[in-house]
Amino acid sequence: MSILEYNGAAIIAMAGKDCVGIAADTRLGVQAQTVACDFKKVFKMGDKLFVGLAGLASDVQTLDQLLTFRKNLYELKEEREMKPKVFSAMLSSILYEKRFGPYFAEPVVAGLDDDGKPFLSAMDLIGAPVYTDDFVVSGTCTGNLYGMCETLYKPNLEEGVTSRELKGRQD
Amino acid sequence: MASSGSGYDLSPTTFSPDGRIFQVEYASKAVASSGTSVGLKVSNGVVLVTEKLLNSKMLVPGSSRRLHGLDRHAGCSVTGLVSDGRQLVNRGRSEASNYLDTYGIRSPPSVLCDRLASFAHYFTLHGALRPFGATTMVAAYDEDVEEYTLTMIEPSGQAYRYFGCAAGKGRQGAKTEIEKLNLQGMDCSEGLDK
Repeated sequence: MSILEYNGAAIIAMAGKDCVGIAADTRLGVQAQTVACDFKKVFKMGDKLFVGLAGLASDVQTLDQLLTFRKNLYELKEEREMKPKVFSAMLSSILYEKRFGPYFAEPVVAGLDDDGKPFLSAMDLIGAPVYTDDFVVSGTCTGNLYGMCETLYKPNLEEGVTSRELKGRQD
Repeated sequence: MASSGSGYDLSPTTFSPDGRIFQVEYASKAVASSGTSVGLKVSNGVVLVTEKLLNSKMLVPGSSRRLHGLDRHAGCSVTGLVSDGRQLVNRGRSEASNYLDTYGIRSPPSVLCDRLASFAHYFTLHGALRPFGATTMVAAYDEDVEEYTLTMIEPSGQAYRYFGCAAGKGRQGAKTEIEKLNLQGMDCSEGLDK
């Protein structure tokens, strides 16, 4: 049994033409038993910034609180909005701080930067980031999700099409 | 003026009856008796100039820097006690570096100067410590709004943004001259000439 697989999750984010989409399942399980069907794993951090967190449910919720706190503090101090790439760098720092006792969560960041350009990144539980311009996945069935993305993803899809694609992957 | 502080000027943790902290004011006096520094914010950047007084013919010209880089996008000049200035510069470098490590982008001038000013201010709050006898003028570039800024951080921890500022022995004369100039209408090389 792996701690990262205890509660179960499937998160996916992809980029389209001047847009990003992010989707996640809503199951909360304790190993094989399903305990809730309405568990939030994607959190809105700003008008154009979302973070999806896969892994241990407790850490998912704690990280949501921590990230909101740090982002709010940043925006108060700097008197400006936090850009997606800065948010991603900050998240990476926060995770690495706990290198020898990590948060059991593997996040996915999706947002639009100032020029409306899509931003995607994913990290492992200690903050090693990967930046892509197509899609990122995280959770307990990444194998399946990667397979779907690699075969079906097309770049520069319009907004409506991107969200339909995402929904297709989740089903 | 010198004797009016008697009894209330021994420690930065004591206010005088008229609400002043003498130790901090004395620190500013240390700055005021050192070589002059001038900072000008012009149309396409910031010019920092300092006067380096060589007390002896034995001194190697070019030693003991008073202009330092804090990061790729920020630099500062030190006026006052050079060794105190070193501490401030080192802290400034470390803050800039930490910001880059955490947030992945260069520190905005307001944040860098705020941290440096808070650091200087900290030393005005403890009985076991004395304020820095140095003023730093920080010139920095904000890549977000594409603007240059000039901030002067005094021993008290006060930090203000300036179009033009001066510190040190010749500051009164320098300030008068600066006010006469049209800073927005010149670029860096013209500013340096003035």
